[in-house]
Amino acid sequence: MALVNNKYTLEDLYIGMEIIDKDQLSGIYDTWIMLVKKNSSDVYTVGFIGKETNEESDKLFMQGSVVCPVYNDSIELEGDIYYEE
Amino acid sequence: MKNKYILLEMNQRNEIRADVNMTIKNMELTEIGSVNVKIDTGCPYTSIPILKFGISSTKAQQMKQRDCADDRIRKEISFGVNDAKEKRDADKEKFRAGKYMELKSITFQHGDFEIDFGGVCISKDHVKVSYDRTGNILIGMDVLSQMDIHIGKSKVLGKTVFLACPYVSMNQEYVEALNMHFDI
Repeated sequence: MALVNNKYTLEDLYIGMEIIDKDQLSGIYDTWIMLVKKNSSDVYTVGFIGKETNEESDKLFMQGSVVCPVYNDSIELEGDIYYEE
Repeated sequence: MKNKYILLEMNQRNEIRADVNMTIKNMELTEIGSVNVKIDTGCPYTSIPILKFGISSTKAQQMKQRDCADDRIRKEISFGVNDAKEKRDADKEKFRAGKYMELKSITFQHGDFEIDFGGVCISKDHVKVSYDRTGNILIGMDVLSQMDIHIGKSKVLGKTVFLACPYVSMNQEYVEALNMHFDI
C-alpha cells in the first residue's frame, strides 16, 4: 500500500502487520488499534483492530507481551474543546 | 538509546504530553508501551483511567468489582473541576456507605508503579486507578516532585518545553541541557 505522508489508513491495516512508529496510525480515528510486541523486540505488530475493545483485545494483556493502545479520538479535531483536568 | 533526561514540547493545545511505558505490577497486567500521558502540575496524584489502556468496559467492571470486595485495596473518591457540589455530596454519601460499584469517581490504589520516559524511569509504591473514567492519564505531582523540572521557552527550539531529570539520576547531560535551553 502507498503511505500518504508516512501514515496508514484503516484499510491498510491487518492483524500481524508490523508498525515501526505509532505515529503512522495518527490519521486513523475512532478505532482501537492494539499493538503488541515482545520485550526483546523493537517492532510492534497489530494485535487488534476494532471500534470497541472486547474479550478478544483483553486477551492481549494476559500474554506477557507489551501492549501499546492506540485510539485517536476525532473529537480532538474540534478546536473548541479542551480538557480542564 | 536511553535518554538521560526528559525533554517535551508544549503542543498546540497548550498541553505537555509524552508517550511512555508503564507497569502496575500488582495488577497482573502486562507492560503498557508508548501510551500517551499528560503532565499535570495541578494534579496532586497520578491518575490512571484503566479504559485508556484499551481494556474493555466489561473487563474493567470485573476488575472494579474485585477491587471493591478487597479490603486490602485503598479506595478514595476524586472529583474534577467541573463536578457540582450536589454530585460531590452524593458521591461522598455513597462512599461512606460502601456503595463503591455505584461510584464513577472512585479510585483504587495499586502498587509497584513504574513509568518510563524513554529510559528515564520513575517508580512509586502505589498509583490510583479508576475503572470508569475515560479522561487522560494524568501524571501528577506525586511523580513530578521526584524530578528537577524546568518549564519555559527554549532558546534553541523557540518553543515552550518541559525539561526534567529525576533527582536520583542527576547527570551532566541534563545540566548541559539546562544550559543549552535556558542558559541555567
